Amino acid sequence: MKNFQLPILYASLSLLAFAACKDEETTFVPHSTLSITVDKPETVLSVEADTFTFKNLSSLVESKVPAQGKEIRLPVGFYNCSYKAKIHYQNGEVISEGILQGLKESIQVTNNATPNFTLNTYIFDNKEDFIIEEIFFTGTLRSTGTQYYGDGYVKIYNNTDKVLYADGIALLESKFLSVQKYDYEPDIKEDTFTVHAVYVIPGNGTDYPVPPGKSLTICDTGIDHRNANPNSFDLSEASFEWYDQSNSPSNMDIDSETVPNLDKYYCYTYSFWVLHNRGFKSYAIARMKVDKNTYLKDYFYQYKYVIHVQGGIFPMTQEAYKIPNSWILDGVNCSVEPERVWNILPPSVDAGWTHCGLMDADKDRYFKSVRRKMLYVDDNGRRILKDSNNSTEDFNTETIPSIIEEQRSAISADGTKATVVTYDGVQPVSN
Amino acid sequence: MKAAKLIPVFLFILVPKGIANDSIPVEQRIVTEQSLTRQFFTLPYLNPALKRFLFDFRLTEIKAESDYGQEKKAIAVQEGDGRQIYGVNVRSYIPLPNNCLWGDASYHNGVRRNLRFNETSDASLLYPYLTGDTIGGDMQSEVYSFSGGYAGQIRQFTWGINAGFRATQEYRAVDPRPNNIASMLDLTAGMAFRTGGSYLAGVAIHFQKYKQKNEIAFYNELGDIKVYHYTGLAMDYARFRTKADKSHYNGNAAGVSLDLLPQRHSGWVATVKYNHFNFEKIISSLNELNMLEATEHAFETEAGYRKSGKRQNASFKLNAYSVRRQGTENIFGDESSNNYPWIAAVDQYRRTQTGLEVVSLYEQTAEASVRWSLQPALGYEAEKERYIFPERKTNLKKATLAVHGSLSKIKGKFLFIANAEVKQHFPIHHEISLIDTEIENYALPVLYSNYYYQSGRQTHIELNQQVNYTLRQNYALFIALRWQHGRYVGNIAANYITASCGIRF
Repeated sequence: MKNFQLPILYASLSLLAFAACKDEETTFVPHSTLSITVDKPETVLSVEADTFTFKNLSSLVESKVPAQGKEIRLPVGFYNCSYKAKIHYQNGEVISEGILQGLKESIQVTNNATPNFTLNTYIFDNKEDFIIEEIFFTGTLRSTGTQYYGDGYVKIYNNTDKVLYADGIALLESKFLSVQKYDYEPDIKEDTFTVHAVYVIPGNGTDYPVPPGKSLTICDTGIDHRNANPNSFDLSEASFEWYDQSNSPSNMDIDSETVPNLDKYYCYTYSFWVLHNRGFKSYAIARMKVDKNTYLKDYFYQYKYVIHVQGGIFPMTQEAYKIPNSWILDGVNCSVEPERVWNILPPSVDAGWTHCGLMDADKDRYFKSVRRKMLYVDDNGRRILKDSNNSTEDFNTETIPSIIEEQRSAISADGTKATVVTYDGVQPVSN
Repeated sequence: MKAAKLIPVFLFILVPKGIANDSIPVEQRIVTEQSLTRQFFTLPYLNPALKRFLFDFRLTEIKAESDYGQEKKAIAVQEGDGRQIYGVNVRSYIPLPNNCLWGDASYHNGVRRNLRFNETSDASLLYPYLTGDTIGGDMQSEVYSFSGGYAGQIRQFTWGINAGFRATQEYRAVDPRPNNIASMLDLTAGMAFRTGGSYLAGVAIHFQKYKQKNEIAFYNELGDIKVYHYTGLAMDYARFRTKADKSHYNGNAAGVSLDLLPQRHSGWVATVKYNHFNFEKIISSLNELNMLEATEHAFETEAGYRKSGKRQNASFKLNAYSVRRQGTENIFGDESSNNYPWIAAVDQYRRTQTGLEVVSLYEQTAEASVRWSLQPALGYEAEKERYIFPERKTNLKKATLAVHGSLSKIKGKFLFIANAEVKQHFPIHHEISLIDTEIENYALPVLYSNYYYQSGRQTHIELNQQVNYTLRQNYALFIALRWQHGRYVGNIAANYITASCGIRF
């Protein structure tokens, strides 16, 4: 009898075990309801087709939700939220059609708190001023494969139908890196740009006129670089250069005889400034509203943050200068996708980011620039460039720089020459 | 590896005991050890207290082996499409009047071919939470393992303990360069007592500690090669895609098993085993970020009846298992100073595997020197895998039919043993449903490829031949050859050949 009981005991235990292992069909990720306030400019008269796009940063899944629809419920996760709408708005004396857009990053959707935030929106309006046309920050290589410095440049473009004056326009580089973020205190990101290089076009207001559809080339060193590096190109006819009086005898800058210098307000380096050649910085142009002395006195920024590493916690204090976002005419966030952490410039300046190189220290990035896309060429032969305040959409990435195309100079360390001239790095100029 | 040098020492300890006289000729011990009857029930003997009743003779085997395999196309992409491994192995089983000793040591070195979308060692253990890239390649592999146990008897009670350690190093000398160091420590303690009837009732507890350091480096800065942290059904933790990566896995397992074994050769045999395994994946290069964790509950049972006669043995059994794995992804907030604050945990992955198999065995000793066996089996297997959001799921159900035959013959100083097994998988139902496949996802082709082969009909054939030559009463040299063949849909073939030789005594 006892022997007979044992199989029964076994069968009972087995059934219990398999019952416990039954798969539950009711599996789901908890959702939370979001409460979003869209803060629209007062000039907005009507809104249509407004949509939120939520991008889950863990899975990259995008969810489009009508902003005027039912309540917004999202699975628990970490999101970026963008907003876009067609609007009619009061534009001075007239009513204009336009695009309203906004971006809110780093939204935490958890199951024990209702995400509640205000999304600031901005009318994409043509400021009727200069825009950044091209940034060539990666540089060129010598035939030996080593980095050559000094031929970086930024082009600014008159995208309007009137003459603009470049006097007082500053070229700015962010102090912060897009691949590294700390909680800066005080946090002034929303309305100011923290910079460590401020170089300003000199002039009394009308010294440097730029016709519609024309560019200014602002370069590092305005010389014919082919003399030092046959793979580089001639910048001796650039519009301006930034020149630094170096304190380091082994790292002296060259002052071009043919290219006027920018007025240096401030730069962090004691030697000479070069654009960040791995593309981790943000760049902007701004119309300076104050003179140099006032700026250096009134726009100093001291901030604190804390570094958390395995070795401990380290409070830090740093100093920089700041530029009010309201002075900025145009800005471009740059990064590389695997390392990118944040957008340094807020969505009111740039709701996207662009890149040269697909990863940190990508050796394929040399001889390449980011160039603003061209929409069309008008009847007068003037290029109309795309400017939607979103560099992800507005720029062609990793293009052959325009000056390399024009001069048919090298596009790689082995000296291969450029053969095609394009409007924007993609669309070829038809002969 | 330094530990590999310990194998001769281990051998030195075992050999003198193995050489001791044994009244049963070595060829008879080999026939008994390799008979299907003795291999029929396996789970009870994982209890070290019951392992004492496995054999009543001592046997030691020292062998060198070479394993070569090639698949026309990788059946499981992350496991590669072939291997070439060389190794040595020593194992010994030494029963003594009131106790028993056993041990095993091995060292294997070689290469696993063409792994893709996986740079992690022990992929099946850690699935789906592997680290991988789109390049992959051959992986150099070095594995050493030691295990040993002891069982003793105190009156009605038998107790036993078994401890094992396995260490693996796998690496590649070209980009991408993974360097994995994995270790598994396992410990089992068990006891058994004689019931009032003619049975032994046993209980065992099992513990495992698992670790793997998984580092990937790229020396060539050209190109766009990312490292992905897969999270199941072709999803990955996209936020932490990066160029180079350092991560590690920490795992623990604990289980309990209840056993029933007849004291004599005939009677009911049963084991019910429960095991709980959990592991976490930590990204070292992101300030020890605890990315996810997985938990697994596994039930396994083996129960049947065996009847042993002088010339005939017959057994039947029911095998069943149910394994449920659940994965939880941690969600992190805004990064600051390479520090990611934890904000939530979401159960995203489920996998349920169940199986049932009915096996019977008939074995006959036709004459003093010939023994043959036939073992048919009929089974059912189901696997359901699900990613919760975005919803993705696969569902596979199949029936299996297998026949295993064995023949051994002693002729003079030679002992011939031949085994042949044919197993057929018949798909009953298969289903795949994926949502949001338009997102940037390099692993989708892998999922489709693996699913294609798993959901189709499969045929497996295994032939195993060996020749033993008796030198003296207690020594036998042997040479063995095993061929495993798999045939999958699309007429894709996989062939594995293992050759080994050594000495048994």
